[in-house]
Amino acid sequence: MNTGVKYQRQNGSATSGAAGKRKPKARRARQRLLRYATRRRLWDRAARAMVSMGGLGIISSILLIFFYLFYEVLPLFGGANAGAAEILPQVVAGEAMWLEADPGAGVALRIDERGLASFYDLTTGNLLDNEALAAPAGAALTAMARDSAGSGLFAAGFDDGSVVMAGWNAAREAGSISPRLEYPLGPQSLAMLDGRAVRALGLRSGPGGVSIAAASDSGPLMLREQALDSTPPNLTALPRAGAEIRQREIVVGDIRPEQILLPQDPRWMLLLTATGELNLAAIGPGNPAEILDTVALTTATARLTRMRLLAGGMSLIAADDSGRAAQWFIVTEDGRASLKKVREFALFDNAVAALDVERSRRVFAAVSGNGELALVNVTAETVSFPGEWDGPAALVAALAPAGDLLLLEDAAGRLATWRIDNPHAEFSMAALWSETWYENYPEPALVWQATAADDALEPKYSLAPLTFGTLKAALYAMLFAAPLAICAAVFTGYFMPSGARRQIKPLIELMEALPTVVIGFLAGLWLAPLVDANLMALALGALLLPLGVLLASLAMARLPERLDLEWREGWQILALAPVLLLAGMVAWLLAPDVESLLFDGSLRDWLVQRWGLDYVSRNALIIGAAMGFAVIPAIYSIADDAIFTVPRHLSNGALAIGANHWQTLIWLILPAAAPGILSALMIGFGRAIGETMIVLMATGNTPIMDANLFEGMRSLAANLAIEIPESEVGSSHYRILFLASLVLLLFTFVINSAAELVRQRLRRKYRMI
Amino acid sequence: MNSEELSELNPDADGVRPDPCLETRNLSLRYAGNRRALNKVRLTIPRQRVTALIGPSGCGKTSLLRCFNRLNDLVDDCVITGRVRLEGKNIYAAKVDVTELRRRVGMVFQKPNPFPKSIYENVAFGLRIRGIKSRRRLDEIVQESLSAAALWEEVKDRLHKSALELSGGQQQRLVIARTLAVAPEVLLLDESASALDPISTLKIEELISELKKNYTIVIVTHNLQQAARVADYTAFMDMGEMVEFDTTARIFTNPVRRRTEEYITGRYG
Amino acid sequence: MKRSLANWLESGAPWVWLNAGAVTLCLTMVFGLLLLLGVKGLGHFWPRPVMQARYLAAEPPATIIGEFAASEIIDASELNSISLAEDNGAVERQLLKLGNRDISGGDFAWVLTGLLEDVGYPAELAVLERREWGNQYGYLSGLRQAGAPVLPVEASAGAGEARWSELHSRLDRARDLRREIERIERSIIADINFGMERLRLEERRLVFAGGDSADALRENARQRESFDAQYAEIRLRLLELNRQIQRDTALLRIADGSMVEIPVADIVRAYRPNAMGWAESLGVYLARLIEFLSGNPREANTEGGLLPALYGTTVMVMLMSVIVTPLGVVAAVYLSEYAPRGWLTRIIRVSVNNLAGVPSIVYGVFGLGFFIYLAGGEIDRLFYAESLPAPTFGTPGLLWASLTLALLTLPVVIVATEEGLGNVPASLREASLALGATQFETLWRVVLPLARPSMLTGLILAVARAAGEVAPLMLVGVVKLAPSLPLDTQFPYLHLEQQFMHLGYHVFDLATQSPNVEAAMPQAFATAFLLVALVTALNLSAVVLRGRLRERYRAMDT
Repeated sequence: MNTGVKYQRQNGSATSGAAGKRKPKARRARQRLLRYATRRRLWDRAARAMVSMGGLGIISSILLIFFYLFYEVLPLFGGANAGAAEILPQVVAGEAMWLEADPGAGVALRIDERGLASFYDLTTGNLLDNEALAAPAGAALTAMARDSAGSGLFAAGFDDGSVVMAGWNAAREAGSISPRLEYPLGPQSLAMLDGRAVRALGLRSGPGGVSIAAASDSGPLMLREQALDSTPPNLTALPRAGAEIRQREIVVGDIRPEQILLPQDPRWMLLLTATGELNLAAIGPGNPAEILDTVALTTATARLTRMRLLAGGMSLIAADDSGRAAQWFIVTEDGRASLKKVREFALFDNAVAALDVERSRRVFAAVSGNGELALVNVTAETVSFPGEWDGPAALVAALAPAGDLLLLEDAAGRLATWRIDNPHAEFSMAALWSETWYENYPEPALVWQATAADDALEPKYSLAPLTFGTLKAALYAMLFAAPLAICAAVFTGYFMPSGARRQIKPLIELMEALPTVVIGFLAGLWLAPLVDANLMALALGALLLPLGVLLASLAMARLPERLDLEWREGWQILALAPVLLLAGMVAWLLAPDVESLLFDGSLRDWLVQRWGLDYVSRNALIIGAAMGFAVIPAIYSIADDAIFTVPRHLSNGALAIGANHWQTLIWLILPAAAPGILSALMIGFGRAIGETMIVLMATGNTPIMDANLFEGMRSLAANLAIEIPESEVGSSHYRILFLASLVLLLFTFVINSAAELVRQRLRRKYRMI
Repeated sequence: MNSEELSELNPDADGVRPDPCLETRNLSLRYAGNRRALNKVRLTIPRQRVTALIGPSGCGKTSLLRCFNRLNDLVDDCVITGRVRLEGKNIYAAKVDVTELRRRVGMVFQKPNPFPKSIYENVAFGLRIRGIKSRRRLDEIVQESLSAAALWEEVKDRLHKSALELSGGQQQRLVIARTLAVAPEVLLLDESASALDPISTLKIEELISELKKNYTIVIVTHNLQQAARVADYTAFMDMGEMVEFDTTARIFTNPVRRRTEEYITGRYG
Repeated sequence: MKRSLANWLESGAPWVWLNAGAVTLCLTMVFGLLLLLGVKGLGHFWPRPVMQARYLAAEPPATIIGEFAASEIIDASELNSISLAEDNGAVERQLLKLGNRDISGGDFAWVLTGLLEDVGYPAELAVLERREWGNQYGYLSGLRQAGAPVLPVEASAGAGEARWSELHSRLDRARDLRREIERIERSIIADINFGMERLRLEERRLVFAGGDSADALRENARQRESFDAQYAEIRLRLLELNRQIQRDTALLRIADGSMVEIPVADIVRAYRPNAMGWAESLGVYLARLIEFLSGNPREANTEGGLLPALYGTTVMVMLMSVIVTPLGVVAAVYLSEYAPRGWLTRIIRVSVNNLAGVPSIVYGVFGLGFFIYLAGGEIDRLFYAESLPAPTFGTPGLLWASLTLALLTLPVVIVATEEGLGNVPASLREASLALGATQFETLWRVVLPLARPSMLTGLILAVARAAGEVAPLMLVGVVKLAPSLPLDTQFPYLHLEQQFMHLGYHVFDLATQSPNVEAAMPQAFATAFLLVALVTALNLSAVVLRGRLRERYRAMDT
């Protein structure tokens, strides 16, 4: 290889025109060099392309977080959709007494007036099987009732006063479906009304057993309670009858019910009369039955068309021929139970012809006389009209248990299926943020209670209490941290010589590095009991500490000038350590005396009696101190920079005209650094908003809305840590939690960006000065 | 055309009319915010001579210098129009290999900027990136370059010590050696002695006189005495324009333009 | 010369002093916290004297033996059941660790100090730390070998020493046997189990694939038989070892005077704290400290060591570093060297900076949804179909935790690296370019080497953050107790899908999830101290490194 100085000389001589023949060897070397240069150029380009691609890829993968959270949240806003109705090939006669669809098993069940149960294949529409309901010989079917617990059981009443309870099971064997009826209480009918025809029937199953209520046109109403074997042999099988049977008469005056509803609470029974009046009867064991309340379900001009208990068996939906559907439930106020119309949906401008409810969500589907389909989530008060039926008027509708299919029977005897996609019915922005009236609640409230374990409990998705808890925790933390951090920043940023500042600043910033789990641990298990036991000492300390500092300052001012000079160097902080310790000690020693002198011996009791402030051991005070501790460094660090970087010639100018340091600070430095301090506060606030472990460990995590310093809270972040591992993937709960994390992300991102903007503007300003 | 360009170069003190090496025609440069740094500069730099660019601060000397090795490419929003030719080839043509150009047009900066590596590695840097791996070859060129930069005797015992330990003048000569190692044809010195003490400055000036035997050298300087001492030709620039270019002797004794005269005699600048 | 009060107020001195007070308070809090953790965390391992006393509040008055744990002054009115307490004013009560949880149900009790009588610290009192059921306190009164007494029960005073040395030699024997058992269980049996599981999955895969697999299945069956035979052999050996280890028992006379028989194999450590000098105490202290750092947790993590947590944290952090370093550096290099200068890049830069301030739990949620359910689920469907529905990667695990934390710490690394790249003097870049180096060569040979310490700083900060972070980990991979370590001798050695233990989560678990809070507290303090020491050391080294770097640039700039 020939290059370097020699090469240059050769090159120089060649180009300067001097005679000289190039040797072949030199030419080869030159070519090799050129090839190498080409390779270098290619390398450079390849590196540029790779780094650019890699860099952009990595950055976009970070930003992917935004998009992914959006992607998970988006389905919540999708609303309900329904495909086109598919008409099954079967034509049926008469009106169905019973219609049911189970897309999981692929089977629909229809029971006609004669008590003949027909099973259809939901996909092909073919008749799979016919099976007569086990009826007493010669008896005609007169009434049917569904289980209010949504188990799929139903009861059938006959004109000889007997009742039979049945369910059905679709066993899938070698590809073919063989559905059949099953009788958990045995196929023999239960004699309930001594020969009087059953006119109205009610059924409820629960962990305690089944209750069947039957009434006829005359005579008392009968209630039969029978224990069930609570553990069925396998998951798909129906429970079997247990031994204990109780049957009692219930006399409720001269009410002749058309329908009986047995809500999940065994104390109540609802009786609907032919005139559309609903009676609430108390039927608790031991007491004589009593009618507590009677209400008209419809207005005077309208006629009740359909009524169903909603999932969970706590509230009912009553639809009428004016196209309205209303939710009613039992509200207990001051020990008095009454029926309340909680909300009403004006669905159609003609009659609600058919209606059915989902088994686990508070969702019902209604079809109008004109064939419009409405899907309603009751709690979230969302209504959607995803489709229309253009055949003859629908008579009966059956919604699949999970709400993904609607089976219709129209006046022409045709059966039709309607695929429904309504995965997030329980979500609405309104329910998320505004007060909602939940079952069992005397009034609308903001509640977060997302237990997915039990259908009987209505899930309550209000982010308001969590947001409130988040803000409460953050605000108390800021109350603690902001004054301390800013005062400290003022001192190190302005008064302290920069040499000392360089040493002190990293020490305070070290606080930021402490794992929050450790702070949470100390707050919850060390500080909380300590404060619990020494509340008075703490309150006294908050007073005595600044007082001690002021006294120390006064004492210093009284010292001769030549001693005082030393302290200008910023080493007050060392001198103050014993002062603070002393003040703390005094507070601790004085606390019992002050407490007995001023607060009758117990500050906590006094707070409760005087101000009604309950004291919970893990409270906002603890959070304020612990999380305040965690955010001090964030605020301090930025505020200190902001104050320190104010150009010195500004303050020199003020000092030159005779202002003292404090005046310079107040009138010049702080206003100049104010945007920076504001940005520091914003960063600190953002940090407090998102802090998880401290809130998780040092509060009781109760989602209550109470600004009391001595009560706990649950924050959005802590709620995520608690609930998301247990929420079902893709469920509304899961997605609402994602929404909460998106809210957190956006909030902190926006607040940080704003702080950054403020800071950059400030930096530009200083550069210009 | 070639003869016309040649005619621009007046014969030097020895009466020799040198060849042109670098030429600019209509060279204009504008930075972002419409600040015009160079305006239609026309200049021919003679081969194997020392050319000094003088002029008041902000007159565009450094900008012009950085056009010669396209270091201005690194500045965002910098628009260059016109032509710069090295050995008759436009260096702003599309196909020019910029890295090879920069190898041919070496540059020494105002402040010495050795890499935080050893002395040896500093000099060998340009060779290594060009794919020279032979230890023997590297040793050879490093020694030659350091000798050429009049530094060899001072550092030969501590070649593997950090370059940051050298004095300012030594650092600057090291940077020159580093530049020489890659065998440039042109050497641009951007006020390269301004940050040094008088003795170091003297050494650098001696070095420049020595180097012009093999290299075409362009220096930017604020120091008129320095220009008068080392330069064969001098160009006076003002406000982005080439005011006057001639042999140093003529510029300093008998300038044509009044602006030049005022500057030389220290009436402004 | 003295100044007046008005002067004092006007000068602003009080406010300045209050500001100084804020600094002092902040520093006091930091150091107070470190001190508290240090004292409580490190003090826990020091053997405490064991007290024996008669407690009058019991009915009838009973002898109690225990270690002092805490004391507090409470209002007498809060003690409703104790009639013996004076009915006014404050009384002192103390928390004693009584041990013997298997006998009395709980091992801590509050007693009123005033009702303790005959308080003494007998030298013969022994503490037996057991593998299960916590400590036992009492007097060592005999040893049995296979049921027969080794030394006479309750003989003269001199016999105590003999018994004690006999116990120690038997403890050593049991320890050796236990090591052997553990070795067999850990390596040989684990290998067999691993092989069997592999065979099972192989079989399922064959069945899934369909086609003619009879030969392969036969081969599988043959291998399984060989495994079964090996296992049977090992099992016999284990049974024999277990029989041997159960040979010796120790007799302990406990507080209520009854005699309990404890298998020597169940004793971790035995000592007589009241009889020990400080040197012996130090020995026990160090032994316990070493066990803490290198042992496995016992008794729902409240005793023993935290090696798996330490190990899990290290492996996770290392994996994270391997992921985050190249990604962060490439992104930073792109942003500072290649990205077009303009508002878009500025916005991207600010966004990346701000992501460092996004709550960590959000990253956890993202990791859970994106990595575990989406990516992990997909991986399972594609590559691990044979073990479904049990998820392999579709569940929290080491890989996902590392990835999530890598994402979380990416902004830290990017910001630090970018700062380092920006600080490299422009003159050096120009010098390199002027020598004819390409942009990449300049970057690779001049800029990156100079920015290396900043990258290291960024990485250290990232590691410190990752080591202390808990909230996202709770969602993506840590568990309270991992049955096996994520890095072991079984192929493929690093089990990316496994869950692991983590120091921070260990603190969380001990503090909030422990069934026995009093017993868990000391361990929690010790763990917290270790964590804080680790994180603080990392951060301080980053601070020092950064400071040194600044000096260097300053030197270069002049």
